[in-house]
Amino acid sequence: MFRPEESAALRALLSSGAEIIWHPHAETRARERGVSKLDVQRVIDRGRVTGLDMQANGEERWRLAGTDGDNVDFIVVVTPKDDNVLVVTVIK
Amino acid sequence: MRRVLPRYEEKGLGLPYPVVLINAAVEHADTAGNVLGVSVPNLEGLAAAVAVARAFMPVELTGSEVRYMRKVVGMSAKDFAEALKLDPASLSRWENNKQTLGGWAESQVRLATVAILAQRMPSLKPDMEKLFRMVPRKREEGEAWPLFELRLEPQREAEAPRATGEGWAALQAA
Repeated sequence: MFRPEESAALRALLSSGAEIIWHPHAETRARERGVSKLDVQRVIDRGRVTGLDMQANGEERWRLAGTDGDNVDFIVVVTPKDDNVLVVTVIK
Repeated sequence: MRRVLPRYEEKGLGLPYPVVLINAAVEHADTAGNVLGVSVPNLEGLAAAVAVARAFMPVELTGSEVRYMRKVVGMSAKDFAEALKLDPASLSRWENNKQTLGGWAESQVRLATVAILAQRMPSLKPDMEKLFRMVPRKREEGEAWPLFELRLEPQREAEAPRATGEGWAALQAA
């Protein structure tokens, strides 16, 4: 489901020059699942948040559904972190 | 806290080998000093710079490299095959390292990739005639993967780090 508020927040971060930080776990998972960083970055750049999870510590995790260049679906989970975007994991 | 890493092996581009980033990748840590992860500026530009550097390396492309070039260009396998007048099944076998098309088809992949990326990213300035005349050699059995080392061009470092297509220069393609 499209999340307009979180999508706007993500786009605001991106337009203000947020860096995309890859957590080591996300790098490992992306490689295991055959999803490249470019695929993920293109999904993040579209700025379309489709899910929200709240962590016990109050941290928001945004889910972004996307496809790679061959229309294979995957999900990117990110969290805003100090004006940047931290990639937490990649699910396929 | 952020720290520019003097040397970082980027393994997430979708190539079967890492590329080495010199003084460009940034390690981020929280206030307690715990490492959060690493960011790479202008990933789109980096992927394009690597694709172009590889296209100019006169060694036969592997299937994985063909797939990488296609994905950097941003085309589906079906669209890429159609545009190159290739049978989609042949392209698929090629990308999965089950068949080598070589020769004319490989030349088309290199030329199309570089032409499209150069149009998007004028800073690349490829020598198209050199590419057109290039005769790649066969990859030797057990031959080492190419080593690409890249750095951000100094005049671009201060600019918006994710500006499309600007900034990366190949130091070495061996």
